[in-house]
Amino acid sequence: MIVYSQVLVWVLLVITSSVFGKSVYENVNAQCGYSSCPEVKEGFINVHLIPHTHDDVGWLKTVDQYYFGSRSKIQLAGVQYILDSVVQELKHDPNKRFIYVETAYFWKWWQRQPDHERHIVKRLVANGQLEFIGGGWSMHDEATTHYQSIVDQFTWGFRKLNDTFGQCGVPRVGWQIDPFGHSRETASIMARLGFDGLLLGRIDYMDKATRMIHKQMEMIWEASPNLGREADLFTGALFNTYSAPPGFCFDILCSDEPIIDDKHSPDYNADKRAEMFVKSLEALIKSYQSNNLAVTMGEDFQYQAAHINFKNMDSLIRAVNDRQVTHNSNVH
Amino acid sequence: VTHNSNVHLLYSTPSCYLKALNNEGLQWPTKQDDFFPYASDPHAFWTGYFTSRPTIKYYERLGNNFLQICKQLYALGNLGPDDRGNLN
Repeated sequence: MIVYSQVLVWVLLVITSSVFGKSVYENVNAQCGYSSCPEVKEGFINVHLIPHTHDDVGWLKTVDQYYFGSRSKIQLAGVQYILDSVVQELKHDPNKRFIYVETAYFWKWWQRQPDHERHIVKRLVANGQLEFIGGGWSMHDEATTHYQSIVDQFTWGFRKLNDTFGQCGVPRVGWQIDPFGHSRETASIMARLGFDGLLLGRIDYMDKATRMIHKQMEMIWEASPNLGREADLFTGALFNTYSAPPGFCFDILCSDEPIIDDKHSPDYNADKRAEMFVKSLEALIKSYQSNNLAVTMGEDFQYQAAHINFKNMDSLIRAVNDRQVTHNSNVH
Repeated sequence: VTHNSNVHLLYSTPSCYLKALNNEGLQWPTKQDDFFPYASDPHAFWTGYFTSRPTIKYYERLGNNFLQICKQLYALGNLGPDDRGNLN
């Protein structure tokens, strides 16, 4: 009887989840995922600032050298500091968000965290502030990889995330910002992994120029002639590979001017900097169809001192949003 | 000070960006082929890496072969989690 009742409960769960689809599930998880997204402002060009760090799983240094931050003369990069300092920033302000991509590094870091730190991170994942994007063991190459190994590295990364954070740890978007070209097979695999979309950094410069002119930077990639719609994947090419707009790299590795919003300071620049930023959006507005724009705020191994990035992004958001017309009914 | 700006900045993520696009209900062009070859500039085609380090490329494929065999033997052997060892 016990077995039968368990089966019955299971059948009911399957039936209800198929009837109500995602909504049942998202009620259970309340916060993370699409339901945790910030509201966009109706009637405005909404600029989605996406703070991120691109952490190669081995390149000029080994994986461990990158993780621990050794051999700084080769490249000033330490992933453990990135994750440490990002968590410090997110935990004090629910508006701040960060995405993390390479599970090989995340897992190495997670295993070294004490319980109280793990609780904080679980909360940040559960409320959608820290989101896993991509989520494979690494951001795989698409030209020289075998599909079997691509699937293996994805399932290995997803397994760790799922075991640690449950459904809130499951990535929804593919993030191939650095591979040198993109294969249709990768898109097909990603569609069948359950991704809702894929964002790319590097496409051929002439292809990109043409797509910008025709507002075709974003598309539905029909990734498999055999599978049909099952392998359709929304795919977008990012505007500036994966970097911040020129002049707005606030990272400790950069030397762009900070936003100085003290009006009594002789170095006050907030108004001018806000104007520059808005001006840099003109090319994006021309190249994309939508009233929503994605602006990546990150680069290779950035956010080792995340406070510098977030402090200046806070000021930038304030300086730009303050320019909205205050007597307009659009403003809430 | 107001400047008639219609720009609104917000902290977001790729999935929240996709959600906002989806809510707009736009029509998108389609694509059937791939994004190869990649050229970053004139006369700069990134196709050399298709063949660079041939030995390590071979080792990886061979390693994948061994991995699949190990996984199958592990499944056939009906081994439990205790025999999985520390794969982390």
